[in-house]
Formats: sequence, C-alpha cells, structure tokens
Amino acid sequence: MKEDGGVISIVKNQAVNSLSWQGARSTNLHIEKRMLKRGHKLLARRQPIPIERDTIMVFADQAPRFNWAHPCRYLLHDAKNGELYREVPAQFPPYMTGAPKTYEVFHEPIPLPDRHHLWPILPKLRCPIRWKRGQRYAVLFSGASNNRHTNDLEFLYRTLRDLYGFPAANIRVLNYDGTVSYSGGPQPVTSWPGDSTAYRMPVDGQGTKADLDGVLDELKKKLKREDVLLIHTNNHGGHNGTESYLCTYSGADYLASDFALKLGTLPAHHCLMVMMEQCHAGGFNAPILSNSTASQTSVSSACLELNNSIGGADFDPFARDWISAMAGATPSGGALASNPDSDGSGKVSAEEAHNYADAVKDPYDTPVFSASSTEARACHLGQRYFWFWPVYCRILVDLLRPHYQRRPISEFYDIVHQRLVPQLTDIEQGLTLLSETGRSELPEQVATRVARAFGGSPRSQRRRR
Amino acid sequence: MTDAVDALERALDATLDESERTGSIAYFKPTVVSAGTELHLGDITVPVARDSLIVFVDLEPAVNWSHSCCYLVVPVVGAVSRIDARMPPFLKAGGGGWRLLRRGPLAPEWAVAVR
Repeated sequence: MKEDGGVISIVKNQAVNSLSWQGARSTNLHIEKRMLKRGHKLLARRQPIPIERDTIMVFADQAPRFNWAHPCRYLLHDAKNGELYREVPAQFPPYMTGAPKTYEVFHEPIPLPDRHHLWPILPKLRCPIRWKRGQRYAVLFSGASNNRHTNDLEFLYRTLRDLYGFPAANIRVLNYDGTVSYSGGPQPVTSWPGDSTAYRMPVDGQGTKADLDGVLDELKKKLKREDVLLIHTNNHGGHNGTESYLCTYSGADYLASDFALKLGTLPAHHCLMVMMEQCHAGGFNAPILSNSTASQTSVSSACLELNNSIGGADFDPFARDWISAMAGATPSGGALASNPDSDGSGKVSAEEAHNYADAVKDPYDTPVFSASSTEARACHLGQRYFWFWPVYCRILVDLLRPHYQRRPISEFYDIVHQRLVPQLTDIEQGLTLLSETGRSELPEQVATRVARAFGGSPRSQRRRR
Repeated sequence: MTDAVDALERALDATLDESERTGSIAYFKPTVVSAGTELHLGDITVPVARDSLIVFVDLEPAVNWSHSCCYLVVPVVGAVSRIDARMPPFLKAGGGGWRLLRRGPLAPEWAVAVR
C-alpha cells in the first residue's frame, strides 16, 4: 500500500494529541511511513512487537538523550483509518542502525545532538590595536572549573594576546588544579571549541584564594599610575546570606568584602576593569568600587547579587559575549549581532562591552554594570584607530591580509606587535598629529560651510525670527 | 550494585515531582554511609541515622553554582529523607567518588559534572 497522506496525518495528530503536557515537551516521536503488513516481524532488539493487522507504526522515545536501553513505546495504528489499536512498552528502538528513509522523526522537542557544532572561520582582520602609555596587566581566574569556564579563560587569553598585544608576562591565569583542566566532560582535555585548536594559555597557578592573593601581591610590585589592570573571574559563586563569594578549587572561598579589601592594597593605578561571570557576581560590584585604588574602576557582572548566572555547552554566555565584544568576533570567528564600538571611537570600552553582552544576553542572566565615574565607563584595553585612521587602517589591513591568511594566528600577531608596530611609529605619530590638528580646526571649518549652505547657524536663524 | 541502583531510582521517583525528575541530574556514591555519621556535603551537614546510600540531585543543572539542589538519604531499611541545599558535594578538590545515577530528559548532557 502506498503512503496515504491522509492516514499518515491522522496517525501523527493522534500520537501528539495523546501526549501529556510534560510528555509533549520530553518525548520524541518517529513514524514508519511504510505500512507494516499483518504478521510482519518487528523487533525491539530482541522483544517481538506483534503486528496484528496492516499497521502504521509510531515510535515514542521517552528519553531521547539517554543511551539505550531506556523507556519507549510502540504505538500501532490501523493503516486503514489511523486508529490506535495497541501500545507496546519497550526498551529499544526499531532500528539501532541503518534506519530506512521511510522512518523519520516528526515531533522533536528534544533535538539531538546536544553540543553545538559550529564551523570556525578566520576572524575578520582589523587594524592592529595600539596602546600608548603604561602597562596593561590581566588576571584570569577560575576556581572549580567546568569545561566552559576553562574555555572562557582561553578565549579571553587569546583575545588579550593576539588582538590587544598584551605581553605574555603581563597575564596571569589561575585555573582549577593549576593546569588546563576542569571537572566533568569532555575528557580527555584536548582542544578549545572555538576553533578546535589546542589550548594555548599557560596556567600559572590553581584556582584558589591563596594563589589569587599571590598574583595580586606580585602586582603590588609592578602596578604604576599609568597602568591598566583587567581582572576576570569565572566558574561558580555563592551567597552566604550576607554577601557574595567566589568559589575556589580548594580551601576557603573568596568573600566579596575580602576580595575588595585585597584590591585595596594595590598601588594607585589608572584603570581597574573587572568582569565577573560567576553566580551572585553582582554582590562584588559595590565593594570593589569602594576599595579600588584605581583612578577609574568598573565592574561588569553577569548577574545581580542574589541571582545565578547561566552556563552553556562550551562557554558561559555572558563571559563569551563580553569577550566577543572586545574581540570583535565570536569564539568561532563569526560576526557579532552589532558593532560594540557604539560611538565609533575605535575602541571598545568597559561599558560598551557590557552593553553588548547585555543586549544579546541569555534571558536567565541579569547583567549589572557599575563604574566609579564617566571616565571609568570609557576605560578600554586598546584603541584600533583615531580620527583619520580608518583610511590608514584600510591600507594597512589590505597589506596584512595575505600574511594573515598564510600564518598561524599567534605567529602573525607576534610579528605584528613585535616587529611591525614599532616600524609604523613615525607614520602613526604624523597621523595622530594630523588627527589632533583636525579635531581642533576641522569642526569650525565644516561649521562655516554648513552655515553657508543653510543660510546661517541655527542660533542666528532664531535671532532673525 | 544493580539492586542498589534500582532502589535509588525508586527513591528518586518517590521523592521528586515530575518537573524535578525531567530537568535534574542525579548522582550517587556507591558506598554505604554508616549509621551515626554526620556528612559535610556542599553547604550543609547531613545526619545519617541508619546505614544509607546518599544521592545528590542537581535541580538546575544548566546554571552555575550556587542554585537549587537536594540530598536524599536512602537507608537500607526505612524511609527516604530529602534535605534541600544550594551547593554540590564535588565542587572542591577531594569531593570526588560520585557517579551519575540519572540525567533527566530535559537536562543538558554538557551539564553532567562527573566523567
């Protein structure tokens, strides 16, 4: 009997209608559109499913993400009128391998597979980032890491090293047990899911309070007035009823008040930029602002003090999106939802990165941003271009692109930052001078011409009226 | 061990409501805890009155810690008791030895915390 569209529709409708509200959200339904003749030998592995009449069979998988065996049902429908005549519970599907083309899923509330498979591309090449004065330091911390937390750290590490030219010696990574590892799967630890290459970040210590204190103590000897410090904390956090805390790999957890006090022992510096992903991170905002010794301080947290932050298969969404804003691309090199550099200044500020992550956030997260001043909101990690630079950048990027496509990313950026940028200094100084001259003279020159075109300035027009 | 796992599965079915069962991930430690022991698990202390197996249930597995979870004390003989909590037993180093008991159909695979 050929496939009868009418009966098949009736069978599908009946099968879905028969599910409870919860069942409809958790049971995948498959249909064998080929009619099974009366007496056909159908096996659920070794369990016979009796076919008492010409039948259209629906298979209901009640736990689609489980390995077999697990609960499932065979719904046997009369091939003439589509009526359900028997339901058979079982533990195996009709086809473990090699399902025919006539067998298809038609109700799939639980899509498979679970992990995202994204095709990585080379991120768009942009003008190399410049940093003029002072040093930039970064501390990347994840205590009781899962895979996604370690991946967030790796994404930020690559962004800081490759795109922003942070010297390797200025970045400290503290993760889990002191290695590139984490609790849970996937195991063994192999590659970073952004582009499926090996992890690159060197881990300097464990995700413990002691090691974090050690890194901050080290910074006491280095930080100067012109310097910028980025601190990123990830993995898990808690709240003890009074304040938030950051979970650690072992030993004491880090209370928000204690962390803020520790930051208060750092020497005065230009900018402290903090991004926190852990649950209850918002409880760190105010204490950090109160104790920071930086002239400009900002804290971007994934959630309010009493809230949790959502995780993800490969990355934590908020951290991923904040770092993506700084990087100008997703972990797999893809385009962003919008340009985070919303004022077109050539730099992504602390506030702009937060706003981007907030704009595309998972609905579960409740990002919160705090800053000590307007200037603190504009704090940044490096500038891509100044006023007249877009033309210069286009020239530079076109010349760099063949090299970018031929070399490993890390090698390319090492050459850019260490060999090329120093050679461009005289050109860029000239452009900067031109930019500053332009900024002071150009507005008046352009305003004169605009006023001429419109018969005077708006103010003079109002006076005449 | 199969009988013990079956008993733990029945304890889960009897203690959790339907939405908890479908969205949670449950773990167990395959060693019997002796009567009179006080276990420090996560953020709570669990008193064990009779020889029991312990089940840990993550009720919001897609979210970073801390969040809703519970511990089930499943005695060899007697009623199951449930203690609600906010932290898992395996977050800190040394908190190992837990095995996956059941992952609910709505719980993501990537959230399973043990190998």
